[in-house]
Amino acid sequence: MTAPAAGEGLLHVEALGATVAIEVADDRLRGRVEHAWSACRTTAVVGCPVVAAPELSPDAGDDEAAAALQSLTQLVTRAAILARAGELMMFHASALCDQRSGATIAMVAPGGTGKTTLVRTLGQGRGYVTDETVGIASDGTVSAYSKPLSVRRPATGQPKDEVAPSDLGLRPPQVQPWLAGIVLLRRDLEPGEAVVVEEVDVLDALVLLAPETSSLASFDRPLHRLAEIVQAVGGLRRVRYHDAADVEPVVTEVLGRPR
Amino acid sequence: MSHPVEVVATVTSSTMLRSGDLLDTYSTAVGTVVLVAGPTGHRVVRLSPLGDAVRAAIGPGRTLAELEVELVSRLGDPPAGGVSELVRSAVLALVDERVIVAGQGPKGDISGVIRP
Repeated sequence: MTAPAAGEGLLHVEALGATVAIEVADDRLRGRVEHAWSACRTTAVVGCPVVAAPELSPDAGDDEAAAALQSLTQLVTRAAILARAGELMMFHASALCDQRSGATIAMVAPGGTGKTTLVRTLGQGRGYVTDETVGIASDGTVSAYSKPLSVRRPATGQPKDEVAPSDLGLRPPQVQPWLAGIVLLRRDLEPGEAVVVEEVDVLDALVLLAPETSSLASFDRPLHRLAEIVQAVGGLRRVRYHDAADVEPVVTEVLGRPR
Repeated sequence: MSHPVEVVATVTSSTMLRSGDLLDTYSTAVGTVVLVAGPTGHRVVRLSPLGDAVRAAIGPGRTLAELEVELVSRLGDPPAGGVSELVRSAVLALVDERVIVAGQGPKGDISGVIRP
């Protein structure tokens, strides 16, 4: 579905450099959607993809609303990835940038392994690029996706809460982000163990990173493209950790790199 | 490495072997990885030195027996172990990973083979 015109009632957001229109038919969700997506708001674009927020049942409670917001985020992400397939190399990753230089660290990890926690913990005073998908153009620039953070609740089986970055003290990038470093996260250490940083050779990097990409096969010579990205930032490093705060030195080093 | 019984059973000396659906191949001085298209998505597979030699030697298609001869002509006899066992083991591993496909079709039929 695409927007025929700058439709009234549509909320337009920028995701990975694409504009996506969100249709919110249920008034009970509208305010929450507008607030959660406040960091991504943009102007209307005719013909952009449109996604519809799920409608709530008449007696919907907070859990159902949270689940609807979570589904909406997935729909927007999917639409944005589809719009940029073959243009951006997209990783399942969280990312932070330096607010003056734009130097950005992409922290690649499968879902549910701490991407959001890392940007919440280490994002203060930095640019919040994304907690979900990092899109890298051929010139190394990064398309921000400052979506609501998907915050896990303590109890299992509960929907995640889609939280506006501003509610967590995070700000979107103030300058154009560019990729300064890429790391693969593995949260496999015990509490109290020191963070371990390991160099990964380019062939193993391709094996490890490919499963964390979206639309890799959309590129001509996809492995070569992926290798170029890895080599342009000095290679892939695997960061093994337990506590998100322990990754701070790695983030500081990468965000201090010159372009 | 163990292989599924059905794969072991279907690869004989006369089995025709062809390249799988490889979307890209990337090599450095220390090795090669390939991007393999599959029914459930794409995977990157790192090849062993012998696996890479098998991939390169298959060309438009060879039987397992022909492949053994070709590999000996390219690499010489192995320092240890029998050629047949080594090549067969490497082939089975590559079939498992869909880097190559095993079938009984005529040698000249290379339809469905996608080259980067």
